[in-house]
Amino acid sequence: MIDLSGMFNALVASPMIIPAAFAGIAWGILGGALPGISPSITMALLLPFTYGADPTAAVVLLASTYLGAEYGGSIPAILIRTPGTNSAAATVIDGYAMKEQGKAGEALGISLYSTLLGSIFGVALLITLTQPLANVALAFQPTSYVGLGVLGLSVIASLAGESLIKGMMAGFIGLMIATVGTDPVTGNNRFTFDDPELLSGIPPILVMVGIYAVAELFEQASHPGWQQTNTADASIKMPDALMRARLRVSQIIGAIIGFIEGLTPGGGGTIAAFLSYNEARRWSKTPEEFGHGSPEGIAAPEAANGSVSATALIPMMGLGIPGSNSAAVLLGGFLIHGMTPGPMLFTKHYDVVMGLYAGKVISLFALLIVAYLILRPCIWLVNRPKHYLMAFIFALVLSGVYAIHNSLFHVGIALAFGVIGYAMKYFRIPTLPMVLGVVLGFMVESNYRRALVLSDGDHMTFTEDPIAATLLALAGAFILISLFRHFRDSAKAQEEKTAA
Amino acid sequence: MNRDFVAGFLGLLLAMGYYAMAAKIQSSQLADDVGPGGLPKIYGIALASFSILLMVRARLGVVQAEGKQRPVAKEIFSAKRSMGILVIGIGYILAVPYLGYPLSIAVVIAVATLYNGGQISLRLAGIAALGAFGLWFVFVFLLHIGQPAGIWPDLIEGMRR
Repeated sequence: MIDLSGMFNALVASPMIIPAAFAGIAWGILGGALPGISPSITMALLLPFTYGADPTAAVVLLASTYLGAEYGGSIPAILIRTPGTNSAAATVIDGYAMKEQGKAGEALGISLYSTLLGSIFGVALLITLTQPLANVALAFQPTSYVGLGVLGLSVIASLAGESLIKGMMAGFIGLMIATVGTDPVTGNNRFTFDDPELLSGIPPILVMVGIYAVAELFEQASHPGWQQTNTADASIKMPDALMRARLRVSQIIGAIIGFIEGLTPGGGGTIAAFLSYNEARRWSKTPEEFGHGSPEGIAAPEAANGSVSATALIPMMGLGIPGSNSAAVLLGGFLIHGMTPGPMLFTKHYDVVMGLYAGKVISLFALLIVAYLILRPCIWLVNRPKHYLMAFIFALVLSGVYAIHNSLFHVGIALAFGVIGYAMKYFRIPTLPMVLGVVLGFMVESNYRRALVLSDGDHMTFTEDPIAATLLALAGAFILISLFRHFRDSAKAQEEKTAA
Repeated sequence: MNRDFVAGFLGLLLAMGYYAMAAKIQSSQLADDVGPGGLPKIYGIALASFSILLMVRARLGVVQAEGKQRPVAKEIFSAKRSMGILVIGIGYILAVPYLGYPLSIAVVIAVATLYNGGQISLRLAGIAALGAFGLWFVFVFLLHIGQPAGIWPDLIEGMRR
């Protein structure tokens, strides 16, 4: 049952939710429109600003930024053939073709309309599906949390991308980072090098800003500037009734695939967008138009992106397991306000959850309004020289990280994680498993040891708790399936090499 | 020696260093069966194991289903360019306690712009000053978040005396 009065009460209690939703959408569109600045980076840049804000407004700001960035990525994809975000790459194909046919306004309109419909679908599912998890919360014991943490860490297997070994390495490095600071049971100092600034550990926010934002700025230093658009006077033209009817099937396909990928760890917008594009072409009455300016070729991936921006929050909020970079940054937003996403979130911070739901609904209206208002500034921004933009973003990162704890030491840590993130990119080691390790490490260790203290060191306690046993079994199944897929893909690649 | 082998080697070094430190963690009388060093040791061993696996796989030339890799020369160029940004960041950390936030951040904007391909001009100076003022306005004036003041308050105080 949807608690509408809870959402309304949260809105009354935290009226800042409304400006936060609008600001998040605006910031997200601007960030998403800048090529190379992904939704997670756009959100990571905002994290320091949320530190002193009202917790509900802060998470609404971040969640709205996610949606705004998913739409913003399609603007340069359509206008300059450069996707602002990875998930907008599929939009380039038909979006730019439509622009070349003089239909840039129509393409932008289809993109906005489809993102909006996908988001409405996603938000409805977010509100409906996350709520039942609250009922499980009361039954959770330390052993259950260990099971949940292990399940989260088993996600590493599916997030590892091309190499399971590298994914596991990244995950363990994340777990190692989580051990820095005061021991959760005995209070001993670990890996602090006698530095008082490390006693409370390395805040996950610094890891995220470092490996997402700083590492990308390092990467961008060697990239040439992007193309500029000659469509400075473009305006959004929403599809008419005939066009809306034509887009319906592709939007439904996009929204459903976006929902599935949002729930799947490691899925995310990019996979959803390309899968939707292919499926929309398969189900289209005019598949031959795909690649030559088909409106459905824009509608499907954009509906998927909109859907993912909401449904990716379901495992993050319900289980505390972020399945994508953007969800991980949003999780960071919860953490810096002392809220741990997961089953207890609904019990301890029900008002914040309701506020987030209300904010997500408001952000749908905000998207429709802000997208019109911000298009011109967006085009202006994309047409600015890249060196100014990158320099300003770097200055923003340095200022923002300092602002979190008024610590230059933390600025140094963020830069260090920038180097680590850059090196991981070079060695093709996925970064998300590391973030997962950092986020889940403390929860796993503290509850694991607490559970053993309560059971006099008997490990069978994890099988006696039905929730823990189920979660551990799920984790085992997850790892086995991922291993099977990994070995199958490796064998296929080896065969192709031999054949070649 | 390919990239995976180097990654495995670096991972192994990290694991060994981390394990050595974990082994030195003192256990207190409050310690549980696992102790403060228990899980860190396991993490160290696990990272070492996966690093060795990666090295072995790299030596055996096992093929993965992976995308295109950039040429090494391009990677080296990219790494060198990135180091420049890092140096600017470190320079900021060293300078800001003395120069103060507004001046330091203006210098960061100017230097980073030049480094990313901009040219020395009055426009650049104006944008750096405007950018620094904008950031100062947002952080210090609007959000009331203190930023380093530098030596200026002491200097002005000294001059007044």
